[in-house]
Amino acid sequence: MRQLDYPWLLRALALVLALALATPIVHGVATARPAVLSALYGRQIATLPTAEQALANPWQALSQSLAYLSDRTAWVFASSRIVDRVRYDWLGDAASSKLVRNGAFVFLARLADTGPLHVIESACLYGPRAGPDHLIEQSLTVHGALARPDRRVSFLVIPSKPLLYAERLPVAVPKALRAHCRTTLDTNPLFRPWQEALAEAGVVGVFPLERMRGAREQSGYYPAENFHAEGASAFDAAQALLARLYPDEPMLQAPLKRVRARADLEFILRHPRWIERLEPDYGARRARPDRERARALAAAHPELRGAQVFTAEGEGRAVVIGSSFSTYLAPHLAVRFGETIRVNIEALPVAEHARALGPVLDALDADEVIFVHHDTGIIDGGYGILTNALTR
Amino acid sequence: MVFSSTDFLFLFLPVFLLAYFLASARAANAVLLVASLAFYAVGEGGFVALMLASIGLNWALGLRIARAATKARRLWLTTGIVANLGLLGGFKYTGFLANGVLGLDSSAAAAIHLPLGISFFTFQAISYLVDVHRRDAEAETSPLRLGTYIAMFPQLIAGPIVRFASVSEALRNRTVTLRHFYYAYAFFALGLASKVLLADAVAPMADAVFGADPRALRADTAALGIAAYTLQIYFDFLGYSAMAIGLGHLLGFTFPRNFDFPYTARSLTEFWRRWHISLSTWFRDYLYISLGGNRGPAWRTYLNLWIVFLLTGLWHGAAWSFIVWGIGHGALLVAERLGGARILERLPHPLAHLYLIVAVALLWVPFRADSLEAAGGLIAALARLDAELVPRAFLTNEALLSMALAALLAAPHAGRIMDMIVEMPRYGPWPERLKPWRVVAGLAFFSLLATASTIKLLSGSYSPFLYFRF
Repeated sequence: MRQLDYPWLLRALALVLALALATPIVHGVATARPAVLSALYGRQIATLPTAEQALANPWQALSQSLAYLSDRTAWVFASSRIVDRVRYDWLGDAASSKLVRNGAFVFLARLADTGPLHVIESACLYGPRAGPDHLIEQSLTVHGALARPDRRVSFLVIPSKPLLYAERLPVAVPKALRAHCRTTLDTNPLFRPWQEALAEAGVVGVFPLERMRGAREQSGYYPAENFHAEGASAFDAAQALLARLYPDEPMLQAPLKRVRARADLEFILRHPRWIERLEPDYGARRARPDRERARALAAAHPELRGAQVFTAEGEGRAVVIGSSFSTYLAPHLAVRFGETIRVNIEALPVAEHARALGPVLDALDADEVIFVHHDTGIIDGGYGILTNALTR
Repeated sequence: MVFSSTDFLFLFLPVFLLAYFLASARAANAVLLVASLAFYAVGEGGFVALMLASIGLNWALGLRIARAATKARRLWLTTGIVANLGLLGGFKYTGFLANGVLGLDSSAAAAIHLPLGISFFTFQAISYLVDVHRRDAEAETSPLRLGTYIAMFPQLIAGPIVRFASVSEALRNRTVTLRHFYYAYAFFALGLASKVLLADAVAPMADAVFGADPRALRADTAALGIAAYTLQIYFDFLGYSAMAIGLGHLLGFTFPRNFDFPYTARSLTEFWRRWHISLSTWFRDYLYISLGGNRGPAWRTYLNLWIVFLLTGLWHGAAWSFIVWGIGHGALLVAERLGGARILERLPHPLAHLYLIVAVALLWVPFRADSLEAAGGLIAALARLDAELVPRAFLTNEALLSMALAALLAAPHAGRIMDMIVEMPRYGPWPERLKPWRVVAGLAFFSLLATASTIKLLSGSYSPFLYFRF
């Protein structure tokens, strides 16, 4: 027999405690928005089993019911943000296994399904790698498939942070890898011969490592909590390409100003991050997004769904095709042209749409086609996908 | 289901609290038994039938032992022990015996599922039968009460191992007071914080070092990883035990203390009086003494110690690494008996502590490592001055801070300081009166711990207890 001293007081206390403990699940179930939760979790969230399912397999139904409640428990993401902020801001940790940091300077170290330092190893050409010949061949194949007498095809590869700031890699990165990154930064063994070979073939290929290295120490040049080059670093990369495409034109002058902006790594850090970056001020010459034109293009060409369009005071039409780095580069390239259409190649089901690229480019009557990628994207086979699709 | 999971805290526990406290006095044990079986079923599904079979078997055997004449009593006891150990051995050791010892490479043997908590509830059942045989406890006539004792969810899957004699009276008649409620809250909050805020914070460091190629580890990295695990296993297990004791208080039971600051010991002999006390006393009372204890010649005492610790190692896991761990402890205990203890007594206390910490930490290596080879590699890394993987490759500031805090809290001083302000929960005799302001301060403090732990828990880390699979 179990007696209760002060039975009603203890029962009241038990009730209060039970209600308090049950609140996350009760509140969560009452306010859950399955679509939002699915997006946050990156998967379909569990549903309640039907009566038939419960009768057919009670243990499975119980499991499913618990998963249903677990998926809807309230404050999971708010708690994650709190814990991540404590780890990141108070304790100075990277707060994610995908990142390494050296003080305020953060590097993306890996992607979801890769080795722990894959992105850094890739950028620094660590480990067994193919030489430049394969990359040269792929670039020339793409050029050959898409270039026309009235349409130039060029390539811009942007050095990513682990290479550009090899000396700032934290001690969490093994010594051998850090040393290799510094050597690669000095010798540029892949993209230097690539640039030279393309130049010999009359094709513009730019890897603006030295130019960006010269400017990198400016605070806010390459945002500390960014993966992508943005602001002044993107401006520099764009100017490096434009100088090669139009050597007789004076370089665009745009004063740099400090702006407060959101860091792109906040999607990994899971809470808003505000950073200061250097941003070129184009004044009246800045490129403006044209959403109506973008919708019209997408309606006419399914391959251009999700594309962005910029208009500016320049001349001609450019199509910028590339990885997510092209999102940040396109506005800086667009100031030179009358219209710039930016296509994220990672958003395309590449094989189908790559084959359609040629006709789409013909329909757009583009003067310039510029492929914009970051170095790890190319090293991990970026041009290969295009090449395979275009040569089928 | 583990205590530090959202399913338990936000679903099972509130439902159980309501059912248990709203139930009548007579129905409380039934509610507790049903809840315990449901708790087990969620994790183990159909294996709850195994639990029920164990309850039924031990209930029947207990009555047989109590009612039989002397010779038959021993026979029934032997039957009971063999049956319980057979159950444990069948599920836990068949794979190891077939593949690890006999080299049969049997996938069927390797695939045998190990039911949760089987090591704990079979040992509880054996202790019940032995206590009945020794007449330290009356045989339980009610299968409901015996079932409640064996299946009680607070200590079902990871202890402490509770002697039937210590709870038999409470099973029949117990009172839950406001003080039980307060101590339950305090113990549970402290246990949850130990597990979630300390053990789980140092776990990634330990996991990373033990998971790395030992040839790439530098001495300081290896040492940090071993230190991290030394703290992790203590606070993980301490945390679970504290939560179990807290839940026990909520139900009106007083479970035994399981840890008494073991890392403050100055010898391994003392360590085993402070670490997993319920297990070490179980082995002492039911095996060591039955083998003769220290009543025979010295060589026999040493042999008994070896046997006990060999079996202690095996109890923890069916693998050679656990056997090595157990033998290592046995060897050092024998060495202390052979004169080592006298040397330790004469040493300055810090040196004796250092010996204990180093010995225990090094012996945790085979306990945690994936294999004996990995364990050997990690220990060899302790002598390596230059290697690729340095501490900063694994060590986060969170882990460093948690390790420092855990090291501080592994001694009783912090608790004593807190006790000046806050009414800390006690294992031993309770004070006659509690000062209200200390209780209020305690409620605030434990609520803060509980909130911080809950936030950490909600932030998404699934954290099973280390002793979960024993």
